[in-house]
Amino acid sequence: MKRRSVLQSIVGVPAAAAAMPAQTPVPSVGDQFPRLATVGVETVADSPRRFFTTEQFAALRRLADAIAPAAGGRPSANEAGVPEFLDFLIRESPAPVQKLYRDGLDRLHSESGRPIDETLAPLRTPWTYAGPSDPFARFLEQAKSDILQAAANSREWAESASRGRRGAGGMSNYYWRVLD
Amino acid sequence: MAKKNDHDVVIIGSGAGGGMAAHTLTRLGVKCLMLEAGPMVDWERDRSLVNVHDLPYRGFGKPGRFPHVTQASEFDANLWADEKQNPYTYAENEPFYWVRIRALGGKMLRWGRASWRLSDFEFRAKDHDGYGENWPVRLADLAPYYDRAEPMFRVSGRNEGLPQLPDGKLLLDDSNDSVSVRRFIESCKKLGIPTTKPRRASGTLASSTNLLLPDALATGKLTVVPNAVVSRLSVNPDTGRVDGVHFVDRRSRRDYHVKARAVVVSASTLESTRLLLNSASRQHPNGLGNSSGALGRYLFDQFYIKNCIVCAVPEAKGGKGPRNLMGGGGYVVRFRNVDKKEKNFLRGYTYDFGSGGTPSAKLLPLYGEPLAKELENLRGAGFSMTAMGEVLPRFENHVSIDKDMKDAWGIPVLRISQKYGDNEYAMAKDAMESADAMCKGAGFETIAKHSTFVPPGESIHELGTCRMGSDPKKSVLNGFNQSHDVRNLFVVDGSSFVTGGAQNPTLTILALSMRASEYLAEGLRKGNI
Repeated sequence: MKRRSVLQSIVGVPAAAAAMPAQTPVPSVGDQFPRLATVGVETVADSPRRFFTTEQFAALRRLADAIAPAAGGRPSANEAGVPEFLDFLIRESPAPVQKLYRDGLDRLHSESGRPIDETLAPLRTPWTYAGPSDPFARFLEQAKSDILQAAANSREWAESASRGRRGAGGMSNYYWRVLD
Repeated sequence: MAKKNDHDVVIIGSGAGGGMAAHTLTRLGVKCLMLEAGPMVDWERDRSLVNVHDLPYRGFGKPGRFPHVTQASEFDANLWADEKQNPYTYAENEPFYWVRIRALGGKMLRWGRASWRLSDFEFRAKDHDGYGENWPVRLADLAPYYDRAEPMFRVSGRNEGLPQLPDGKLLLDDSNDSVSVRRFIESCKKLGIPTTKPRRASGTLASSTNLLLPDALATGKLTVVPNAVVSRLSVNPDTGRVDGVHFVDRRSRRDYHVKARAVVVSASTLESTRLLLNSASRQHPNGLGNSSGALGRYLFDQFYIKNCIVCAVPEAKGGKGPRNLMGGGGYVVRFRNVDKKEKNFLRGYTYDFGSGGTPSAKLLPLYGEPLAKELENLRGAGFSMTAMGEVLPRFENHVSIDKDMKDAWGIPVLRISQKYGDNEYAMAKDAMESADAMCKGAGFETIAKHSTFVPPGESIHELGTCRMGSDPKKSVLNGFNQSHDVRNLFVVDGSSFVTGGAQNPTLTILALSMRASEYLAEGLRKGNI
């Protein structure tokens, strides 16, 4: 490749423009650093499951569908990529949380032949601040909270909220960069 | 142009106490050097609007990053003090949640802005019920300073003429209450319980960085140095008085020393005490200014029972109520042990209450479609209360230096020991039952209630450990926040509190700092400090 062609391929300058004999004066605004449009990584790519086993992940998808099915025009937790996100989040979490999830999902898997509503009976008991003492009930409470939050904070929910309305759906706030 | 050692007073910390000290001293002509452990914050450069789904952890935050800072969200995580760089210790099963911000402005960058005066029920607490100690000041001593601090922070609210909640110089909040709030207030009246409007500093930002430090800098008598992590105060071996400050550059770890005619410590309640304990010397073997042995002792905070009751306003369910039914909130004033001794505990508690919003899904024993339907039914129909109670200052609740651990700058860390006692547990139970009675009287439906405190420290109202007092054998500071032992040393933050009531402490810190700073300026002018 000739040098001019190489340069054009890097900077994307059309051949005709590159051949122009003189530059037109650039308005001063052209010297400002532009804010370029970008997208979040989950928009364009999948992240492989790395923490839960195949059986645990299947149980998590079943649980997510029971806790947050598609409703009121919103996608389900599964459609919002919640199981894949929780696989990542729990992988990053402290060991006690990992154990709570793994044991809970193993129990769910072992009861996969039962109707899900029977297995989820602890979620129909009144809330207490201390929470249930039974580890499986504790797991279900934690998973319910995590699944609902992960779904509510997903891009899929934000897009469903913005459909038919003006402006974007979903929560936004001021993000603080690292202070130095 | 700033010059080396061209100042009279070194101020340590830039939050409420340090900011007010700088504001007061510089306007009285005193040259000050302010050392702040954290960086300068630029509100334009350091933050930007981001969607929650674009955050790496979908708003959950990096797991395990802040085991003790429940207030930190993934949005503002970078603003809170890093727990790995700033460790501390406590006994197993006795957690203390120490919540800190290290940046110019300190916790005023994030405070809730509630601005209540303390009353003589707090300043003269021992006279009232016989427990603990009185402050060396009364409300009448601090009132002129409250009078000046409230307008500076544009505090809005409504005066009620109640002795347990002194009136202030307020921007009058005479706004209409929503129907649900009016019903709640009527219910409280029938129970003989006073309420009032929220009393808060107003404006986009209510911080030392926009309301105190600009005026101080404009005098030309203030120099601010960020990233200066103070490690200890130096003492003149002949006089025993403070003669300077050792600090470490936060980024390079290079150590420095500056001289001082006087030092104002306002590094936050526990950081100030840690600094004095770490400044032990031959003249002050148990910590600087600690001849009483009270330094580090009498730690207390205010207990919080977050959402001690969550209700639904029946008429608001299904979005059917009129537009003025929901919204707004207020404050339930202390009503226990005011006119007479009652119940099985000393002192009292207050509540914040709010109308509107949707109760949390975790409170509802449902999932799936029934949960979605019920959340839709309850949308905007919620009513909740958070109880805030006085914690007794006890000798055994204390901080000390943990010699086995150092922070990222090589400075020994604190070991914190605080437990709630029978008085707090009895008060919490009463607070939940009283909240239930108030809400029932208003016709609200209870969804959930409880009487469990958040862990000690989580209210971010930790107080004491360097308390004021008239008796040098029982206290560290005198009535002007001046060390009994070292007359050119002042401590002007929450560590100086003797009692705390249930009122948010910032306004009192501002008033104390202003008063102490005027006293210090006069002492410097007369040459007796």
